[in-house]
Amino acid sequence: MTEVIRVFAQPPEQARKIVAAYKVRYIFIPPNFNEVGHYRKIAPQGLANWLVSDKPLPTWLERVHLKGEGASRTYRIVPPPAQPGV
Amino acid sequence: MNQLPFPHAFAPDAKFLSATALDMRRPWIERGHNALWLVAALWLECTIVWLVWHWGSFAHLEFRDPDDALRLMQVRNFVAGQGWFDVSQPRVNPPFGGPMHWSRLVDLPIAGLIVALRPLLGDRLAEIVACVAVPPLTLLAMCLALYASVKRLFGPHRTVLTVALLVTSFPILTQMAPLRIDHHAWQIVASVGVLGGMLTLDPRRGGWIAGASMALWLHISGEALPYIALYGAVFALRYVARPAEEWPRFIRFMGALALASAALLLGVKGWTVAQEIHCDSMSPPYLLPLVAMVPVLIAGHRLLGTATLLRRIIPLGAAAATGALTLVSYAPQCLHGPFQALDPLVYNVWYLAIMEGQPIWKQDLSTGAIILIPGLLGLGGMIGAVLTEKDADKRFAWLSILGMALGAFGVSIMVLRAVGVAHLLMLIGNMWIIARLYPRIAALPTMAARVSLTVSLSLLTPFGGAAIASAIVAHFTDTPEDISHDRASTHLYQQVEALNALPPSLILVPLDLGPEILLRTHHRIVATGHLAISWG
Repeated sequence: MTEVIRVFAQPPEQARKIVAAYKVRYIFIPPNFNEVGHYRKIAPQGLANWLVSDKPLPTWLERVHLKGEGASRTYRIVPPPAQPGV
Repeated sequence: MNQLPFPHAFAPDAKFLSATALDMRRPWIERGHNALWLVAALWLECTIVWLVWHWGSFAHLEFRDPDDALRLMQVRNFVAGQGWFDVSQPRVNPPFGGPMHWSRLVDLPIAGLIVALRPLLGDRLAEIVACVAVPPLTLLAMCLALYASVKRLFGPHRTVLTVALLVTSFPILTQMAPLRIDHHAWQIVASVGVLGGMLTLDPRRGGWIAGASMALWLHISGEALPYIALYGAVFALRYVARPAEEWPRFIRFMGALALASAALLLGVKGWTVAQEIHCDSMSPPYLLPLVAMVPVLIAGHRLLGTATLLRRIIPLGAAAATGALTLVSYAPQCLHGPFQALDPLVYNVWYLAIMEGQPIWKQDLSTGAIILIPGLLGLGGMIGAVLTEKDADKRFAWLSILGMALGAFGVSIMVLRAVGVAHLLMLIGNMWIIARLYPRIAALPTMAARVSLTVSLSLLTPFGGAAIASAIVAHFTDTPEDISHDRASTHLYQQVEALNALPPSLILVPLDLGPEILLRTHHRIVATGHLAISWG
């Protein structure tokens, strides 16, 4: 639970570390959901507010459009580029 | 309302009349099972209203609370073959799984209906019918339990009136609405069992009923813990006041509570989980004090007797001290309550935002008034009944109900979600006020006065009290209700189902949305807002 709250309430770069540690593939966020509104209120710099406010997407996320998604937003986690020589 | 079922003047003729003729001389409601049929009719009316009101939400199982979605997920896993003792959620926090502590008992009626209906209706429809039908059936159980509990004390007229008030009490009914399949309704039913056990004429039978009901309540949810202390104190005070009559009830209440708690813990959780310490649900830290208190009570009672007040109180104090010491020595971490053990971030961001877990002064004015006004009305009625009741036994019963109601009201002030249990007891006070006023109104000479005052009695029902409270607050504050988010998320299920276009993956979603993802998609999630706090 703690990690989910941290992802949504912390700035994108810090959220990225947690998402990577858990090997999360997608982030799904419905802007009108009460809990999302709560994250936006308590953490204006957090990832939840960042995504819902249409700020420029962090480089580690890309939007996925799904049929019937309505107001919800789905983002794929972009894997980091392979290190040369690895 | 207060007339005797068989007036004395009637007795001399009795030997010349058949049983049927005798029955026909009684008021309609006292004949045969007429009162019970009225109770059934009240339940049916309420159920039809609920079904019509929520009809549009059935086809897609649009739950109003994530707990209901997760409950169905738990039932699905069970029906699909997950073990009786294993209530973990395998698609949460993979590969470890999400630990859960919810009781399988609440799953049983839902799973039973699904299994029974599946051959006839298919998987999907059987699931819908079970989720729609179980809450109203729980309400039926509550109506019948309340009827059985208070009929001896109040007689059929007032008992039916109490049930009629029950089916207008929104804080209670909201837990029995179709699709509200989580455990909250069963808690209120179990609380009626405790009330019934206290009011049962035979103290031995009453003690077993109350103790077993309390154990069931505690097993369904750890939220029952404060009520053990509060209701236990009422049973203890009854014993102090009337030792010879009430000792059999009190000791059987304690004994049944300890025995049934142990049996349920082992029978539902299994030996391994039954040994784990969980501060937020029934586990050894709460079972051991109960088990330890019983022999102390029996020994104290035998050694000291009941001759003086002090001799009656000393075993109670010793048992309470034994229970407290057992808890402190075995699991001191549980003394601070389950939620204090949460990570501070989770506590501040998640727990404090759940308004149903917060005290009355954290709620908006309208909610606070809806809790307070019907509650105070009910308490006023009970106090009136205690002060005016002439019969000593009935006054004793009223005092006991008042004691339980005061305790339950106190808990509901501290935690909003406890309002259902409190308001159930308050109904009895509401009933007393209405039953007291109605004969006087009916005796008024003018029809206009009779009709208008009879209609105005509806303001004294839980629904009327809540409506007045809400209207007054709205008038003075002019605050629009905060339901915009709920309206916007009406078709959230469609948005969630859109995720099925993606291959099965680990998805991070808001905590309260987790159960919907599990229910409607093939994906795995990091966490839900359901915790199992355990040590050791």
